[in-house]
Amino acid sequence: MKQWDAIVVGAGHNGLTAAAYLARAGLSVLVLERRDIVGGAAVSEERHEGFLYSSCSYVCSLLRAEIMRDLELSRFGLRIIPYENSTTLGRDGRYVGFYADHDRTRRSLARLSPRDAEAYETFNRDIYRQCRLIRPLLLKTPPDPTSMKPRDLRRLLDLGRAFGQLGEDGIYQAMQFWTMSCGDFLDRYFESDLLKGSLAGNSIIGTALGPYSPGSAYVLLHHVMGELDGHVGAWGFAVGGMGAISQALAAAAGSHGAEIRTGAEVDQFLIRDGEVQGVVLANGEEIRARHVVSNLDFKRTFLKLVPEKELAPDFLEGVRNFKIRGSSGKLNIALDRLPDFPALRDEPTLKRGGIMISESMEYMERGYDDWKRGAWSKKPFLDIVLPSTLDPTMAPPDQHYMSVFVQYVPAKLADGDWTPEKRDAFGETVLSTIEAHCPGIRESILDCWVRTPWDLENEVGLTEGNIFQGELTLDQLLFNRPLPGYAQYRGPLRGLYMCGSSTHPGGGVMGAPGANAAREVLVDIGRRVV
Amino acid sequence: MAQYDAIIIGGGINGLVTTGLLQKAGLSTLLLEAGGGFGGLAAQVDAEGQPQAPSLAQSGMISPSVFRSLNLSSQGLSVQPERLDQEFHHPGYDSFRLFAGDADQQQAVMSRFSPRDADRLPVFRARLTRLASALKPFLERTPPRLAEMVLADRLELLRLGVSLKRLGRADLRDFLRIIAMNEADLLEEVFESEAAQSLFAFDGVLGNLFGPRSPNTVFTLLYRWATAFDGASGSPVRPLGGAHALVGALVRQARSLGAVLRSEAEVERVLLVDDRAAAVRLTSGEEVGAPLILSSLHPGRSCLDLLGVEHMDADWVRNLQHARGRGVNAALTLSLAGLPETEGSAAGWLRRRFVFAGGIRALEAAHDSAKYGELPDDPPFEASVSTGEKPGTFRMQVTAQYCPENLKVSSWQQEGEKLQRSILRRLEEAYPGFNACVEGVRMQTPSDLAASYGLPGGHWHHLELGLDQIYLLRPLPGWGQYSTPVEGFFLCGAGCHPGGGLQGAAGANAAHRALLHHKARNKTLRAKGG
Repeated sequence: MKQWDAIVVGAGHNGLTAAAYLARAGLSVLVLERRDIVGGAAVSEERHEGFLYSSCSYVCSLLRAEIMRDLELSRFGLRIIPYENSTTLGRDGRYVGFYADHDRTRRSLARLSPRDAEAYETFNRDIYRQCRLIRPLLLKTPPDPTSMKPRDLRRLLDLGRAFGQLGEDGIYQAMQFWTMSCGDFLDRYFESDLLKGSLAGNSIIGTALGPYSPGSAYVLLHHVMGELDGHVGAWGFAVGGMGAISQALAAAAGSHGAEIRTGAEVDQFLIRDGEVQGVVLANGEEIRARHVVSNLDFKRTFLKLVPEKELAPDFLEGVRNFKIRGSSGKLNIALDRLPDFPALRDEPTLKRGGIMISESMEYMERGYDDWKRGAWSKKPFLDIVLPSTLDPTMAPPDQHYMSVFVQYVPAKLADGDWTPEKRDAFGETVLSTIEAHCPGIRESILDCWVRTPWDLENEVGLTEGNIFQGELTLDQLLFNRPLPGYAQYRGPLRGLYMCGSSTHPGGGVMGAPGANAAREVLVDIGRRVV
Repeated sequence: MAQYDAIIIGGGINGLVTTGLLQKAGLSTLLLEAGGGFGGLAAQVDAEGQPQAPSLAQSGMISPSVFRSLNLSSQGLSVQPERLDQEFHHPGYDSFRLFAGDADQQQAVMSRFSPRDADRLPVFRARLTRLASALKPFLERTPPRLAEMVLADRLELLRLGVSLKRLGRADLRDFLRIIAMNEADLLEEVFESEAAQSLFAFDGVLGNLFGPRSPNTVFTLLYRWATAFDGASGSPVRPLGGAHALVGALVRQARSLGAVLRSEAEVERVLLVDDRAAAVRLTSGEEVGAPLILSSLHPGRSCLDLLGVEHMDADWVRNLQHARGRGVNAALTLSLAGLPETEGSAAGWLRRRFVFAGGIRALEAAHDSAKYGELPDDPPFEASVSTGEKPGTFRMQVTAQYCPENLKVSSWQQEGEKLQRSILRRLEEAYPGFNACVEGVRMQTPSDLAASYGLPGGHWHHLELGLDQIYLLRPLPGWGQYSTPVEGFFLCGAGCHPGGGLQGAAGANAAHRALLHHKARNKTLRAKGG
């Protein structure tokens, strides 16, 4: 029987990234994917004729430039179009616009509050400084602060040095940034509720925290630390939808000889004497490999693919206690025309980017309260994009694809499991929220695909439908992610690695966990990534 | 103009500790207190050391090193605190009592709810105790400065590193993981019964506008554990004889050392000469001079009101204004003609802490109201009983939580009555006949506390205790060493690291820093003179 150098379980974007790096280093690599398409949550699906949906993740920003370069993704067809402008809609037709043209943004903010327009410059400077600290850490393996190994001490020293470079004020700011609530943080800069509501959007997306919860300021940073063409915090669309990223990664992996099998569900790891030696498929087939890299989330990897007896009780308890909470939903909508937002009639370019619906931080916090009580937000925070305004491949001419990201939606409802009726009711809540800003939208809907955390769990395989494969709170970041002592991409069993978003530096279509995990595999066999 | 070596503004616990320590070091020291008695928020005594108003600090203890330095045993104070029994009342199930130090009784009681939790209780307490011991050096000592680190600062950092390392690998990992977590997650990881969770949940949020699901609350729980609990038995502690005994001992000791303590002496302004603190002016117009002035009042009041904004740069002022101190506590004093007969001996009542709080869910719901500036329906509270002036009479001190200082839609004039009703109703439910014993009620709403103690925001620790406002970051980032931008003017109150309560650590650290300054200045003066 053939023995592979490495098997990657799950063809999400991180699994594909890991596979591409491993294959590029000369290893024989097999990627096994349960579904018929690759990409995990970074996929484009045609559900309504002529329309391509970025059915789960929908924007691109965090994908590391180093990975795009290393794997030559542009050679494999990946093209990213930056957002043109963005906006947040508030009450009574008010809105705030963020433009590619800096001066226009200033004028737009000054309409809300001249003081805030000034403060926005300081805010951006401070955020940028914190991004500069974090970004180099993304493609590094976290140190183990309890270890005395030279490699860990060196990493710890690197981390200390990176902090030192921030300067005294920067260090204090970092300490506060990582511990305070987004609400307190924004209150230091701004007075306008709408502006704060707009900026706080990034602190709650995908997260079971409210903007008033301490720790939410970091989540904001997590979302804005991406870049496009060197523009920090810039967002963009992949031409052809998010699936195009996965396709390019798959092509890159393939070009280096990796083999990808879809429709191949892994049932269990093949474990002998505490070492993972391969996998057993659902159809009983056994495939052997020296290294097995799991792209599944932390819980699935150890609670589904490993028999309980192979794991120490402490570790198992750690896995069970891993916080992975579904809090987001999604509507994919096919429209027969460009939606009309009366507030934006004079500014059509604001539709060529993100359109958030969030009038204030309190609006979000109240939405979070609903979630805590086991219900979806009665007035949800929405992040709407119309990729077809910039990318004609997404919808037929003059028709449009609307992606609506919804926060907060629980994985389990207080009144029992999700049912089709409840899903419809949830969709109605979202549509009514849109309708308040976009009257008549219902008449233009050709297809509306509502997705709850339950759907994300059952279709894509994300536990509880958590889009980050685990909460981004301090107890689950850096050397704590996914669990203290296991942050260096290795599981407790020899031969087993983790490369999903459950590992450092977490979720978003970033590719960093995949690249980092591949590097650790190569370190273990004495090879360096070139 | 009368001249002293040092003037202390404010006669709370920290002011008294600073006064005693400076006088003991040989500085002629004057304490000026605006009110009629000493002790501040903790417990008020008159000039003779007799109780004047009941104690707001129902549990806590003085830092052992302060106790030793001030030789408080010479004033008849015991170094051994009194351990309290605890009685928990929940809407959902039977109330129960845990006797301090009686492990078997506690085991038997908790087994009623869950045998598994009963077994886990001592293990969890031991865990909290170990982690709190690692936190203690951080909590009791002066934080280092990161910029221009002198040798002492470097040694301090090293000492902290060593104290963390001494935890051992498993505990250090545990510490680094849970320190920023929310207590609800931690308690749910450990305990299955709401009753066992509720033993800790109230203490993690008491005093702060945090809910059990706010990240940070494991830190605040550990803080309480380190400062107000006897780790081994898990009982809350207070000075033998109550907080009054502590304040009385501090007052007498400061006097016997030779310090001058004046009440009814309100400072209106700190006066500068050549940009140095030089004197204070009282509201009576009297001026008193000293080259060292330390204020134990709220940092904002100390710097913005007493000193004046013109002496500080804009950043410092802005940061002070943004430092969070959102008060959430109301204090009620019930005069009792006797105790309900059904409830056993008075001795039992006198050594008991009553907790009317409920579990995580109830606390979180109450917090949700408070965060929007609304009074919850039944605010959680703690209470304790002391003997009254006349034989056979008693006083009950109630500290209610989640009573926001800044009510949004209502006012404390209206809500005060509602709060009082709710508390009396719940006491009557727990002890039929209780209300018949109540002869009088005195209520201090958070806005009363804010007004009478000069607390912008009304927080009893002056500034909220959270990871973003502690240690290097308290009262302001980079100003953790008790000094201010004005030479000779120091802060020594609860707004400084490590906060208030009965510890006196802030006062002691500030005294130490002021002495260093004093010595350095004398040396320079001597050198100039020679």
